[in-house]
Amino acid sequence: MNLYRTMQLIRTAEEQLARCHARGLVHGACHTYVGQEAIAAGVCAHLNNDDVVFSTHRGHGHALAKGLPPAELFEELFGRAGGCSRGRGGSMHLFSPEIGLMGTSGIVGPSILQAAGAGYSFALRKTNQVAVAFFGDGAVNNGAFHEGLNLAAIWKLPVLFVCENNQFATEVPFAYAAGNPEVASRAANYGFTGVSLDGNDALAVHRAAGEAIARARQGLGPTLLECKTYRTRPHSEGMGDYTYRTREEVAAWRERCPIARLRATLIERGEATAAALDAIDAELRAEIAAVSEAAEKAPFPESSTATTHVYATPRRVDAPAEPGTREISYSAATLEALDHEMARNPHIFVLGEGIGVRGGNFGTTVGLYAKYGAQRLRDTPITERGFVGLAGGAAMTGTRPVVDFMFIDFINDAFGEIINQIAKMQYMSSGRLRMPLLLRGCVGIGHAAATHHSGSYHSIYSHIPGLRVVMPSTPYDAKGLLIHALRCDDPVLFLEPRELLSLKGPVPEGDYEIEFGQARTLLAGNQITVVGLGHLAQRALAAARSLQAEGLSVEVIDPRTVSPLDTESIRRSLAKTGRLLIVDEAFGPCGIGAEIAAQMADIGFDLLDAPIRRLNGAFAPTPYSPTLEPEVIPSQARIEAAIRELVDE
Amino acid sequence: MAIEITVPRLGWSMEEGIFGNWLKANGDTVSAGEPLFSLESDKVTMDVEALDSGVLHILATSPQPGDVVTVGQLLGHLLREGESVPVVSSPERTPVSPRARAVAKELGVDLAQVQPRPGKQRIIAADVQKIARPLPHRVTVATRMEESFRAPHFYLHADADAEALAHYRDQRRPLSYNDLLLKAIALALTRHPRVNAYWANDGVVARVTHHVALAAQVGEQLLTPVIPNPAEKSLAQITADRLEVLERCRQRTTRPADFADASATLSNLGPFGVDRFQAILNPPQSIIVAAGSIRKRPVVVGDAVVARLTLPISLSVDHRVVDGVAAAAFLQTLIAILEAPGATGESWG
Ligand SMILES: Cc1ncc(C[n+]2csc(CCOP(=O)(O)OP(=O)(O)O)c2C)c(N)n1
Ligand SMILES: [Mg+2]
Repeated sequence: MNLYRTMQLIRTAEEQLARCHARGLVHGACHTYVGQEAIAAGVCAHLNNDDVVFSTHRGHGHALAKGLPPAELFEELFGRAGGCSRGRGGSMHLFSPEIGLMGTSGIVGPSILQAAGAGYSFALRKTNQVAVAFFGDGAVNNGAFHEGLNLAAIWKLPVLFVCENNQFATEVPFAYAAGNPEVASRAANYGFTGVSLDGNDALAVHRAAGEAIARARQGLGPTLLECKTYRTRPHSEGMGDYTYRTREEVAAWRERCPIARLRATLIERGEATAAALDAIDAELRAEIAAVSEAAEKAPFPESSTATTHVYATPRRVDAPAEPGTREISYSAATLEALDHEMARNPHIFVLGEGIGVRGGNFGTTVGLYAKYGAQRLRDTPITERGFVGLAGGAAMTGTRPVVDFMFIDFINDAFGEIINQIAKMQYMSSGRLRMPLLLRGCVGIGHAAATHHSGSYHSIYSHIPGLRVVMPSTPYDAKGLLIHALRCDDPVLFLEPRELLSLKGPVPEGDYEIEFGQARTLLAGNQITVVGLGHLAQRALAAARSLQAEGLSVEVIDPRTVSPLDTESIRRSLAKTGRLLIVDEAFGPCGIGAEIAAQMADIGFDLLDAPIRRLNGAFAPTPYSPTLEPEVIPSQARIEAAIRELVDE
Repeated sequence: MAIEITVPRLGWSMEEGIFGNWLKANGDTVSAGEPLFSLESDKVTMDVEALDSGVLHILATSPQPGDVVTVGQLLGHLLREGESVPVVSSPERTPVSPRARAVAKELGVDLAQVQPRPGKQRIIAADVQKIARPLPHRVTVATRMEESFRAPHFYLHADADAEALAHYRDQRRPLSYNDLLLKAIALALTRHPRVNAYWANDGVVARVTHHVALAAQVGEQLLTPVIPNPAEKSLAQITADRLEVLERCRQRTTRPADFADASATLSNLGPFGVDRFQAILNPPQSIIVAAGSIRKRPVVVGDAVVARLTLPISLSVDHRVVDGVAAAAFLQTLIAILEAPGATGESWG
């Protein structure tokens, strides 16, 4: 009876939403779940409030089955303030973390990884929760499927993977798209159970899901359910339907309506009367009509709130400790910071290749495995997208993952997870989800690493709202900023210039935090401002010191964090000097140097006595040979020459 | 080839000056040695003579009287027979940095008056500031004052009873108190030869003249033109000398002698309502007299407090040259002269 009610609720709501879409009340896309209701209802019937669901663009059913009040669904689709995402999401981005709805997603695939991440959280926190990923047949040919299932398998995570195989991804038939169209059979590739089901049989789904969820709760690991089904409305409301399938086929599947089927079974088995079921139908019709009408009258969100919740509210922190006299290396400083925070916060865990017993390629986790064990120092397969997506899901569910990329170049395999998921999650959930997640890795040219181990990506990622991008150039800053990153609720990209890892400097023994968005003046001067980033902040400092002998007074500023960027400190320096040079080994076009230059041309226009100049790495991949490599990165001599020239302008 | 007329350097440290006016008209035939235009440096105003002969052609962009000009700046040409004015390739508008524009606006400087530093294309803020700040005399004032502060000063104060002085002046209008003070200071100097001296690097140098300078505001400038020898001149002559030299200052036609060899300076802020003040020495002079306002003040006469006109005098003294007692004696003399004008036997005229 409950299954019936849930399915009928979904159907009634969506038929009304389809009408509303036609009337223009739904402002964006609207993918209905009509014909597939048995799956959401059958699976979610086993879930507690604190179990979590990650869903897809076709997620109304999952949301309602997980307990979302229909009013919040309607208001969200109507773009109203009372919507479950407060008007920030619409149909494809439904969030209600309070009831374990961790988001429907406009991107195919990530739900699989995020559910695995939630599973990781539950395992680490030793709760009895489970995570469910819903996804379509379209997702199973995507890398996220392979990577997520494999990770869940090797770490035996409490996750249920539910593939709703409705036989089409938009208009592309699954039979055409899949080399092996038997989805359930693929679980065997990862060493766990896959079950193929009639997805229009609510009771069968309910039974199989029950078993799988029980296994997950017992710590027996993941299960893959393939629910074969069919959506009987177009891919999205308003789209044509008969270019890729026939009216007859759709009509035949309508006949196999899962709700009618359950109704017949219930009556046949004497578990319900037709009258009782009719009463449910009538009640739901009345409820949805009322909800729809009320949602139409509900207020829109204040337009002034359009950009709130991009970041968590920053914590106030005490002024950082003085550097003192103890000198340690950059690497030692970050290790100290991580160790300190792991001891303090049991929810921190590290993911990376060789960061376990080995202690990391760059010694980032040396000695920590012995202290904190395998679950918190988790060696990963080479599956960057997988473990980054997983980390996102973990961060959403109460733990604080640290992803150690070793070389930051590998981050690019996880680009979509970072940009589309991790960076946007706080905003999409209107600030109800926190994303305490640290992504770290070495950056920069040197050591003949050549082009796949020498990238600088601070500019690209600083373009993205929702991320913090940090790149310290001294051991002191590295420790203070890393501790702050490990206590802040935003996703942080922490970039460590490889050429500075053995740089020594004074670092206090205790913990201290350096806030984001505060540049540091490495050297005071009054003839020219040089903003240096990462490794080149130190190189600019060396250049400035050597020019002191020529009587030049150079001010060197290290922004320390690229996002947020402390433009005010740069402007203040410019007010003193009237001249600005930015040195960064990353590529020039659209780089942070261009951003700083543009900002200063705006807020500092009247301060400029000369054009703003930039020195960047060459616009080319990094070469290997010792006669080529130094050519693509500004040398100290070139920095000095550029300073002289600009002062002389 | 047409001969260029440019701004000459009038002293080894001169970089800029103030253009006075053309002394010949456009199209005049000029022979070598004739004065062409007047130019003011921080020290002097001079008539600049033509070095060659020819027909004067003044540039359309010639500076106006009072404009700041830089050494080497082209002003015009001398053309010989048959020569025409060379086409000065009109340079593109001089680029101005945003900062220079902002600074010019703030300081009220006309950017057309500003030149980039030698060899540079763009006007920057420093170029504007240079113009805004140092009309050359300002630099003079600044360096003088700095120099002055190197002299160890001390100060003496006394009030002269000014009833007689006021009466004396009222009878001889438009005689000014300045003239009376100049006269009195000069007379006191003649009686105190040890005060009439200055400090050179290697010791005290006595003066034989008794010229007195008068601190005067001329337009934007603080100047201290010299009244030669007031001790020996009638008051009418002193008035005439004073008015003449001030006029030369206004016209920017002063001569080096107008600023040379004063023994002391009078700074009188009395007309500006200043009660009393201490002045800073005008090096290399060893004393400066600061006069406050002449007005009724309570004075004890016998056992009674009465209202009398008084004139507060402060004397600033270079201690390297003059000791306290000698300075006090000088001040005493000065007060006595002021309290009995015309009564001292010297010619007051
Ligand atoms: C990564 C990605 N690529 C393309 C799309 C565009 N897109 C939206 S839905 C969809 C089809 C998805 O098919 P399936 O996963 O089977 O889900 P269904 O729509 O059938 O429920 C596609 C290609 C997307 N959202 N995300
Ligand atoms: Mg599909």
